[in-house]
Amino acid sequence: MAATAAVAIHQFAECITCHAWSPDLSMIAFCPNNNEVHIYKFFTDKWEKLHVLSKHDQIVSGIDWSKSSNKIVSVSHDRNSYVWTQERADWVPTLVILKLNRAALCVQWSPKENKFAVGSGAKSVCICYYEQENNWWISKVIRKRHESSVTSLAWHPNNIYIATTSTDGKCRVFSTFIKGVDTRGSQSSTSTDSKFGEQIAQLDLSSTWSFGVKWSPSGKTLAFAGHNSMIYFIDEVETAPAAQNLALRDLPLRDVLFVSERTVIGVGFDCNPMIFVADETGLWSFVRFLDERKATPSTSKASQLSEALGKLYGQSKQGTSSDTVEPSKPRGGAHENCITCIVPLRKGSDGTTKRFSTSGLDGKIVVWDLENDVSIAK
Amino acid sequence: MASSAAYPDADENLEAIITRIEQKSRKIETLLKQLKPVEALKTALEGSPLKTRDERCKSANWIVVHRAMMAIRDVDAMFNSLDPEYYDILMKYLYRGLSTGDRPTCDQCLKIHEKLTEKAGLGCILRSLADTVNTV
Amino acid sequence: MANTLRLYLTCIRNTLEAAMCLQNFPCQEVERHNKPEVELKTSPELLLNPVLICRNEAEKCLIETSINSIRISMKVKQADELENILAKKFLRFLSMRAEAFQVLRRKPVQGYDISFLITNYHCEDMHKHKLIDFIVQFMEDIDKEISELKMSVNTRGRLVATEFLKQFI
Repeated sequence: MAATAAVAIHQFAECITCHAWSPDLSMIAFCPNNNEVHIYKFFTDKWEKLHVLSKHDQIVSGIDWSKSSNKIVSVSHDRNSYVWTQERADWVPTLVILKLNRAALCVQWSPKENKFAVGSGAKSVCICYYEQENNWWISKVIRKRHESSVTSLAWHPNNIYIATTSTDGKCRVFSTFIKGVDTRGSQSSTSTDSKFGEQIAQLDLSSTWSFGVKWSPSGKTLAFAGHNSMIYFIDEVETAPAAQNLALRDLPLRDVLFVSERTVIGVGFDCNPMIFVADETGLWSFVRFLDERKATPSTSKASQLSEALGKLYGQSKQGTSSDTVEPSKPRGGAHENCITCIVPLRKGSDGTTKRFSTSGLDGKIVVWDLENDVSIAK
Repeated sequence: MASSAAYPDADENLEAIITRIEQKSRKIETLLKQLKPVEALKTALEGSPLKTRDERCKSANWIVVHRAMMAIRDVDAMFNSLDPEYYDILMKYLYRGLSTGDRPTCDQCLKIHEKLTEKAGLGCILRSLADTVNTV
Repeated sequence: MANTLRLYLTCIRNTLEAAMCLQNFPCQEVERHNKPEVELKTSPELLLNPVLICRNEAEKCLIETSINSIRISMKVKQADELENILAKKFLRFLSMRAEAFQVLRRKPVQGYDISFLITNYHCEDMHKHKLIDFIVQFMEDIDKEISELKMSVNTRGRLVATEFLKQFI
């Protein structure tokens, strides 16, 4: 067995909705399950809180930190979005009017970082871009396509296509070509011929909520997860979509990440990242869990529930364990609750992601290193 | 759904579905007489009308599945010869059986449910809970 | 008998393990709201197939799942009038103290004796396996509790009758 893949575990909060890293990876921004964004920096031996960005008035559902322009974008259930820019020691917010009447659920900078996309509970996607002359962020909305909330989005490397997943079960790909922002003909493919909001593909694979859509580094393969404990891999999305459906033995995934063209990490309700690999013929399969599960002695942390039960029953009844049904055992991994977010960190010389971080409802951020793991780093 | 892909799409008319189920029923009786309960169960599960919204078809197929399921005596032996492709559809029928409240049916379904969960994992239960399109 | 109870509870436990995959999900109908979808039922696509698990005609458990909440309703065995009255009184006593239990619904779903409502917030604060243990333990204890109550009512009845009849000796 290889050395453990989890290289750093830090408990930042009670619960984390999402997180993002600064361009130099020295700082981390996350939402501790409330209306704030906290920024921590790592000093020699410990994490220190540098900033608290509090402009939203409901839970922050998405954060993304742009790599070259060093801007943070945050979205919240309060329907708003802010772009934060660093001016000396402070982070200065700019409100972006999204024209949404429901919660914003997810956000991502485009690869060129001249646009960002917001998925929402208003069954629509906003594409936002900066207008120099007015010093203002503009939002253009893709409406009427989604039949339910947009749960996640992913930019194609061409900076034009965007893939979305929704609680209506479908995965869709749209063009986000904006005149004056994107240039025609600069790319070789047909992607630049499409109009804004044009639907390139609709993948009707999952019979239930879909989540966590991602493109492979080249943009050739698309992957997303369904709440029916399935993961879907689609090739040739634009022309003739060829899908592979993989049924999982365990609980459903919430997010996925391509670490290379042929390796995907899936995270979700099983609290343990799963590794999927495609063979030479392009056939995907589940390999194993990334985290080694250690059998830990059951924690003595009594839940509020058993306390409540104790109060009602009188102390005598507390602690009487059932003989008929064995109580379920706590999981002994790095994460103790659902993992909701996976972010790539360092890329190797061959362009594959070697390190990534995960955060979840247990309030931990865990950094994983695949190089420590002999079985995948072939 | 990986499993539903193997079944004919229920765009066919209702009479055709009913006829097909009747044929299945006769085949199952023969298999049961030959003491092949697992073969009978496989036959019952194959070609289940999942897409149709017609309750009559679904009930007719359930009667056939129920007949085969109740004939299973040794659950462990059944799983030794039942291929994983049947797991998802079997789980759906187990939940249908569990909702009847009929004591012998529930006892049998509970027994199979425990073994099936061991075999197929929680993902199998989720596919049954989450699939609102292909129902039994 | 004990074996079917074990299988019944195992089935409920496994189903709950699978169903209790909840997440924060804001309301699609009303802006700036966040309510248990299983109670609202305004967006059918946010609900999964409800599951009814019966042990027999009298004992059953309904599990309704939505994207951000799950509702578990139970019907407890009531063999005679007395058990019926005891179950009603006892479960009413619990329901009135619903806030102490957090996950207990103040009013059971129609046709059931007691209901639990678990939301994504409970899953954030508490361990999922502890929540499931609690529900399963509760189902196991409720039968015992009612049998014990029945016994003590009968014992008292006998005692009262004996005392009352003493005067005629």
